[in-house]
Amino acid sequence: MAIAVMRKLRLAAISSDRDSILNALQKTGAVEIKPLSDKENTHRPQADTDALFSCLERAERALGELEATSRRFAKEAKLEYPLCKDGFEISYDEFMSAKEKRGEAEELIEKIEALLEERKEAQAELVKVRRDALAAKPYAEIDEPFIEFGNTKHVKIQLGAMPKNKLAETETALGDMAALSVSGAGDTVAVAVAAHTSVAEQAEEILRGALFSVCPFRKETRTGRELNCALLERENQLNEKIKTGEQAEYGLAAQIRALKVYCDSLAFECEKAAESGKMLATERTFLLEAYVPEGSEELVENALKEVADSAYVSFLDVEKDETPPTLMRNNGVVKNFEAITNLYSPPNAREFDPSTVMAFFYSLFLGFIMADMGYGLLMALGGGILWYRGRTRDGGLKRLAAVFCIGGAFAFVWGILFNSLFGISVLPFKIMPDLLQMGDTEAKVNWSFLGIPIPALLVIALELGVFQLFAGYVCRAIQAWRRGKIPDGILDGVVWALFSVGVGLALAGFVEEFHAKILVYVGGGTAGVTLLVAMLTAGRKEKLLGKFTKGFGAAYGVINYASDILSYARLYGLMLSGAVIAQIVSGYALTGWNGSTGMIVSGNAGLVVLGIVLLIAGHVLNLALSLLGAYIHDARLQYVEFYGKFYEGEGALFTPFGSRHSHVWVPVAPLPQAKKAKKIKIKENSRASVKI
Amino acid sequence: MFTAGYAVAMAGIALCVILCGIGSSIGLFKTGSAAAGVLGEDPKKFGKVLVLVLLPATQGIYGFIVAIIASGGLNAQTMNVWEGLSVFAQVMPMALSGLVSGFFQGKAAANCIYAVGKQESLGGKLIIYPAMIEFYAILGMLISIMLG
Repeated sequence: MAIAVMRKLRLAAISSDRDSILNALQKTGAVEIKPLSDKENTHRPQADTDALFSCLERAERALGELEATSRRFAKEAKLEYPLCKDGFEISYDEFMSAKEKRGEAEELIEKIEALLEERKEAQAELVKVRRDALAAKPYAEIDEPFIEFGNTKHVKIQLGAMPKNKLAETETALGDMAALSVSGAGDTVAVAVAAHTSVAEQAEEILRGALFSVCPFRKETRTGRELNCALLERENQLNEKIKTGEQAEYGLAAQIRALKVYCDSLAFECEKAAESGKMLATERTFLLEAYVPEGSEELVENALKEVADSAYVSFLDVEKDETPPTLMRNNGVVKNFEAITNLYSPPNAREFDPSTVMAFFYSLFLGFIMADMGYGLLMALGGGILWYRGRTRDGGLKRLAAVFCIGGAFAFVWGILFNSLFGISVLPFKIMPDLLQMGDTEAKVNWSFLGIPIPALLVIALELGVFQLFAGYVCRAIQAWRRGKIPDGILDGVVWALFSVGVGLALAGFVEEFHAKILVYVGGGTAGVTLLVAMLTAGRKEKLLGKFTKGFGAAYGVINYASDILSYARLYGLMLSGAVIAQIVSGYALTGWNGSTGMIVSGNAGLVVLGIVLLIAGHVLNLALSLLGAYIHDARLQYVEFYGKFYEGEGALFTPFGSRHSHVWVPVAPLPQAKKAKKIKIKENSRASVKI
Repeated sequence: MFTAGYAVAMAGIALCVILCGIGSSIGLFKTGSAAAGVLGEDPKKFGKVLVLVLLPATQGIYGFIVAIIASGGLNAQTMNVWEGLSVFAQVMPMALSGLVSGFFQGKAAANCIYAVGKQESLGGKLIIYPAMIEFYAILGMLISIMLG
């Protein structure tokens, strides 16, 4: 439940050691390099960064081409495709040695590029051949060479194609002006028009109006029939050539894995080059600054000792005006919920990590919305299995699975309280009020709230909301106290937390079934007094007019507070919709619904099968839909209602140097925890340095 | 058989669910379309826009809650027209505020989604603005419950 304290590594070393030093820092997985601002007299190394980046771009392009083509070929030819999904695990040594296989990789890339080039040429030619074949089709039955359709001294001969349906009309229009010879049987036919030169222009005008297009093959020495055959043959050859090229690429598919490793290795080289450009440097030395989580200094120091003959290393405290990256340190359970916070905005390094508190409420609400023993078990089992399968590495799916698994445990407990197993009451006792009036006349669904009958579970959902808002204000107080602002913590946090207690008690007191009218007075009094305190102290840092406006703002805040509480009504709505569907599915399939017998117990074989299908499909669908709604609306309650009370966010997550890979996963040992004694305070000017 | 009052009350309750549902549907249509545009450019922003997309779904849930509460007080045999009309009037604040706020919340959230498309770090903060519109749906729900 904490954000790691960051320390600043300052390292001065000679330039020739730069590469090995960066490799060593990457291996620790504990260093995020900090860009140093431009300063005069800095000598930027003339590394050929652009060449490296274009090399990476070329390799990635070749990889994409190889993957896409070989997958497509395998699918079309129904062959096995050696699937190499991104994220496969490789050892650190394999990753680092990929650079040494540059020659092989470049050879492979060249091969892929040559095949691609060949295929592109063939495809371009194929497009042209197909276009020609389409144009030559009307002349397929002409057995005279095209070149022979030439003009004589007094006769102009036009060979071309036109729509068949325009023929009769054209012949009539031409009359005695020209003679037409028609060939072909398709919609477009070949027409040879012979006209005396004196009327040739007039005849051409008529032909243009009849959509006559001049033959593009007039200089061709082959006949129409020969040309069509030749084009068809060429088309087949090109298709064959393309297929052979694709087959050759498929033959290289086994090397996709190696190419992926090479691409990521190149990307790391690019990152090194880019980071080197951000360092301060002289002609022969460089200065590097980086963030290291407290507790990892020794690890980094030892890694540097192994590779650098002479380097000056010191660890400093982070300056007060500096914003270090955020590294959350939570236990195995809460870690799964960090992604939910990060989805909103990662905490900044100077604030309180809300993940633990949020994890509790998130699970509580997820369980409340699902509130069924059966669904809870399925969530816990399904999530647990998914988590177990991905346990060896960190990933979004594994974390989400764990969230559902934990939420499932809560749903199971809520399910016991609500006595619901797939919508059926199975326990002999009831702890919570009934959800719905389902034929059971004794069911107590509503509570009388200020004389208005309101579903009891809606009141419980609102009370849960008050509880979370209370926790939000406590978090605000803790946040202020951690920064040494004790009065602010009390007046902006504790006072409003007490207000929440008052509101919660008053809400409970309004429920006539509790017979606790005293709670209304106690809660109302507490809320009233604390609101008055909040109004009087809200403008404590302002001048006269500001005091009024801030005080008024505090009073207006009550409206927002009420709105926040009512927003928790969604817990009831979502729970109700899921529970009703579960009851209906189980009712129709098993226990009976509206006086009818359940399908499974009806004795009719067909209905039994139908009932089983309905039971499984209905509950699976309901579980999936309810989970989706629960996941999103629960997150929204955390972001808007809970985090709105204290959370600042806008942090940048700690990203160790060289840890981002597109294709591979290189396992890194977990970072050591900070020693307790060291963690206490940030001392100004404290430093530890070592000369290696 | 049921009375005319019962029919009027049922019509109001049905209208509450329908109008809130329409508000949410239009809102979700707008946010979903905006998200599709943003994700088409950068699929990695899925998480950032997810909550914004779903914000206008709330009105449908509120309409559903109010309908459940209001339907609890109906009596098919004894309800007269005035009683039916009072139930009809009771659910109208929710129905209309749900419809209008769902529509406008969708518009606001869609614009916020475009903003997240341009500036990803705004994701968390921008949830607040469309959520403000929801306040009026909450007021509608509150009044509809209190009038019951």
